[in-house]
Formats: sequence, structure tokens, C-alpha cells
Amino acid sequence: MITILLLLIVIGSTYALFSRDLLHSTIALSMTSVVSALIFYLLHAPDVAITEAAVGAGLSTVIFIWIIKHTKRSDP
Amino acid sequence: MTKLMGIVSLLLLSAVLGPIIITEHPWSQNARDFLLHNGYRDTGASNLVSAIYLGYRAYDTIGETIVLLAAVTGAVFLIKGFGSSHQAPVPSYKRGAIRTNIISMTTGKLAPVVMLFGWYVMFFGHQSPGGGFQGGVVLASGMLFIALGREHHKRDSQLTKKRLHRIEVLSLWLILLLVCIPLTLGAAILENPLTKIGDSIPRVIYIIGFNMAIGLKVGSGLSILGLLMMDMQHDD
Amino acid sequence: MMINRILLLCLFLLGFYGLMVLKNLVKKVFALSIQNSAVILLFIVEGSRIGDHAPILSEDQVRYVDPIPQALMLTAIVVGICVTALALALVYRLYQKYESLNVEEIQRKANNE
Repeated sequence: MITILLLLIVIGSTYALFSRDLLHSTIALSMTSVVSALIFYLLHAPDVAITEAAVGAGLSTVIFIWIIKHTKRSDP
Repeated sequence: MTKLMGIVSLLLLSAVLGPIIITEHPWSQNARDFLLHNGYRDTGASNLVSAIYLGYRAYDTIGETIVLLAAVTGAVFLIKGFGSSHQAPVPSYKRGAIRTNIISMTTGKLAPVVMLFGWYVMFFGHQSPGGGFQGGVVLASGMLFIALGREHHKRDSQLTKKRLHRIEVLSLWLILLLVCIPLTLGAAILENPLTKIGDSIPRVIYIIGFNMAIGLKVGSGLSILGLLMMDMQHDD
Repeated sequence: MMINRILLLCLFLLGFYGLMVLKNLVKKVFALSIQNSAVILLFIVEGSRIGDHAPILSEDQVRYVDPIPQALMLTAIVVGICVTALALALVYRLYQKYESLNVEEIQRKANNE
């Protein structure tokens, strides 16, 4: 179970780093954070799960979307 | 050329980290047994993770608070610029941006619920999962919800950026006060002082006070950062 | 289990490769955040091997998970987002001055001044 979720995180991170549209990368990184929070809950760590869900899927995504809006959105 | 150097350095790094990852080693159980027997008696919190980062390793928590303060100050200074080198951006609902009704109605109505949940997580950190940092981050998200739903409130929010600055400074003073108070009551500098007095005052009051100070500091700092990045100029 | 740790090593190496090879500045910050996530996941996976209950004291005697890695990783997550926010503020200032997000172009323009 944990192995399948970790594989999902690796696939999401690969797509985030090698895509040409930065908005798609941000959404993939937010998905990585949410799946990571699920893994923390399944491993009996509820404090870390709350922190990762609130920080990764909330504030980190806001910060990345702000930088995309004020600079370029596409990679090359 | 850069790709070749990248692949060579990846091979070297995996040769260094590989033996650590592949070998099987048992994880020792001494730390958990010690905390199981002494955690509640020394600090007064039944959430063992809170007992660690507010009791045994409270110095790391102070350091993290300072890191957060430095990062928020640096980011605000870099974004604002050295004075007024560019004009202040107009809030997006005045520019006629695509702001549908769904977003402002949903976030405007959900904002008090999120802030209440944030306060609950902050207050009950000593006996259920939660604590200062988690509650602070949820409070910052609640502030962003209020800023997103401004059209439906029909008046400006009372928490302007200046008041958030004052809350942040006041909570920093509160943290410093809580650090120094144990000295007057006969304990070490970051230890829970109520364990030395006896059983007249419940011991969790110190932990709750510490949690709320940290939560207010983290929440106000991160919401200043978030509000600045969303171009919502309450006042300036 | 070993396959979990090998996947986390692959995630760390992916972040390192992205930090070195990619030329867009925002993607370098993405790679830094991915490396941070990999290390935090490794600590929590390793610390949860010795028990099967969350570390909140209750009346009956159960085996708890090790609470020390969890307390350390709380600090690590908050420091990670602070580093990301400050790095993106620096990228914003660079874009304002040089009008580009490519590392080689910025180096060329800075050498020509």
C-alpha cells in the first residue's frame, strides 16, 4: 500500500519537473503533498499529516501560483 | 555537457547513499520506552509529540520561530522593493478580473468555520493531534479565505496588515516572556515550571499558553506573506 | 521494507538532478521542494517500524510509534516552506531586473554590463 503511493509520488514529481507548462507542474506538486499527507496518516503520524496537508496543499501552492502569475507561465 | 555531468554526479551520489539505504538495521526502541514512562510526568502533555517539541526540545521550537520571522521579513522586504519603484497593484476585483460568484460566496461563508477549526487545533494540542504550528497554518489559510471573499462581506475586514504586524510582535514578546518565567519559579529556563509547584495548578496551562503564542506568531506571519502575495491591499 | 527506501532514494536523486540540470529558475525551486519531501518521508517511514499506534497516551498498554522523528519533521516542514518562500522572492527580483528566467541568459546579461 505504501509502496504504491510512493510510486505515485515519484511519477507526479517526474511530471512536475519535466513538463513545459508551469501551472501543470504546480498542480502536480500539490498532488504530491496531498498523497504525502495520506502516507503520513497511514503510518500513524497525525501531527505531521496535519502540518503537511495545511502547508503543502495550502500555502505552498499559493506561493507558487503567485510567482507564475508575475513571471512567465511557460518553460522555454 | 551539463546532462553528462548531471548523470555522473547522480551515479556518484547513489554510490555514497546506496549502502545506507540498502542495509537492514533495526530501529532502537529506547527513546520510545523512556518517553512512555516519563513523558507525562515531566511535561504534563499526553500527546507525546507535543511533549517533545514543547518540553524536552523547546529550544528547537524557538529557533524555528526565529527562522519563520527571518523568512517572512526577508520576503516582504524583497517583494515590496526599496521604496516605491513600481506602482501599487490594484486589487483584482476593482480591475474587473474574472471573479465569479461561486468563489467569493463559498470562501466568504466558509471563512469563520476555518478560523474556528484553526483555534480548536491550536488549543487542544496537548491531548489530541495538533498544536501551535498546525493551528497557526490553518489560521493563515482562514485569513486568505476572508481576503478572497471580500465582495460578499460588503465591508473590509478588521484585520489589516498593520494589526497583523502588531499581533506578530506581541506574540513574539509573549514567547520570550514564557521562556523566562520558569526562572522566577525555580525551574530551568525552558522547563515547565508548574511541575515544581505541586498539584494546585494543572500543569497543562503552561503548554497551552506556549501553544497559543506559537500559533498566533506563525499564523500572523504566514498570513502577512499570503495577503501580500494576493495583491490585497487592505491598507499600507 | 527495502523497496520503500529505494523509491525514496530515487525521489531524492530526481530532485538533485533537477536542481543541477534544469535551466528554469522556478523549476530549480520545485526540485528543492521535492528533495525536502523525500527526506521527510524517509524519516517518518523509518520511525514507524516499531509500533502500530499513534503516539498519544491512552489507558491501555499498546505499542506506540517512535515520536522523536515526528517532532523533528514538524520543524523540517516549516523550515522547508520558509526556504521556498524566500527563494521565490529572490527569483521575483531577478525577473524584475533581467526580464528572463533562464539561468544562462541571466549570466550572459550580467557579464555584459
